[in-house]
Amino acid sequence: MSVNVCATIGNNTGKGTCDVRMKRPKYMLLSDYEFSEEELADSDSLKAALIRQMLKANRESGKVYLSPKLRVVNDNTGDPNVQTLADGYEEVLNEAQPKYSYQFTAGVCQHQSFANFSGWAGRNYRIDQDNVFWYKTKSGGGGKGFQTPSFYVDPPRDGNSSGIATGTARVTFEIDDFKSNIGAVKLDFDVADLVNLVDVDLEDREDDYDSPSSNTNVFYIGGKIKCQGADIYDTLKASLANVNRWTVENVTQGTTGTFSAVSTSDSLKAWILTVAASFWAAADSGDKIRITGVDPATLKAAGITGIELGAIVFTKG
Amino acid sequence: MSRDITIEGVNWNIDYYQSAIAEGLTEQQFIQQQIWNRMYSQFAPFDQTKILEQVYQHIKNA
Repeated sequence: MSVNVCATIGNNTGKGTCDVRMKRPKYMLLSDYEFSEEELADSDSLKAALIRQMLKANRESGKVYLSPKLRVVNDNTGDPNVQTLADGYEEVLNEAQPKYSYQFTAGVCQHQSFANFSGWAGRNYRIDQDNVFWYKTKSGGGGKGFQTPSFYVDPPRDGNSSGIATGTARVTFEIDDFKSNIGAVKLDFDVADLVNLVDVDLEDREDDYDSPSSNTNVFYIGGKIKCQGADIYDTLKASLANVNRWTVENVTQGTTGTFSAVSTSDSLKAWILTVAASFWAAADSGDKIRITGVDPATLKAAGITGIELGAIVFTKG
Repeated sequence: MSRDITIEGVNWNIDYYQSAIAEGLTEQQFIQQQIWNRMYSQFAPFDQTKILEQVYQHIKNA
């Protein structure tokens, strides 16, 4: 048996007609969603897919999250580990994992939201300074993000007198992801203009804002923008006073219900949600009842943009 | 998505209550339920009843 890899090692290194360089990343897109070949066919198709996936709810898989704009990128990839023998022969023992730090200048609330991704072990797409979207091609067509075994974002901190205060995301990639099967799409839109969502924390407004138990099927729910604290009642009073804007689930029994009516309370700045009596009657004492808003795409279809309603869990008394 | 209607600031699930009416929910029971739930408590008792009668009939005939 002979050893002969000549036919399989190396390849032609000519200059192609549609090659493009990877430039400084301007945005990261964090998501495990895998785009289909059709969605990656051109800028318009990718734009539609991105909007759809960005409008998914936090609880849904495949949601796409956009990073703040990345202003400075540092390549912190070290040299590979090498060993030198006594006669001067040197050999690479371990390749260095690609490591980058990305600096951004987001406000405290956006910064905190981004820092909440520390520990993210999902995948990562990037859009570079030339507005090229980078992904890993899949053997069956379509694309997925690059692996990110380590992802950490420093929390916000005070500025200082010696330089502009920036937040920093520190990311380690898998080196093998860069060796083959990379795809790119030139975008003709700014991804930051597509979807801009903030989270809304729901609150129980019935018992001096003291949640979370209920003896009746009527719930008084208010909401504030996460971190910023702005109450959403005055601006969304009418548009959220609708049985189709909310969902209710018996988490204990794994059943979903409906709301029979929704009214409002100006004094409590609350939506008064009445859960269908039949659903409430089927719940046992101690069951966990979760109320949340419908997903951002459904809210958008109803003319409510820019927010995702969180969830609040009650225990049936 | 359920059919709904808003009457005097309260949004009602038409499909849910039509189903309940089909199963025997009477107008009197409906009104008693909603007064118990304080759905129109900003109005005087007489007006609450009048509005709820209107809601029931609207849902029934929707």
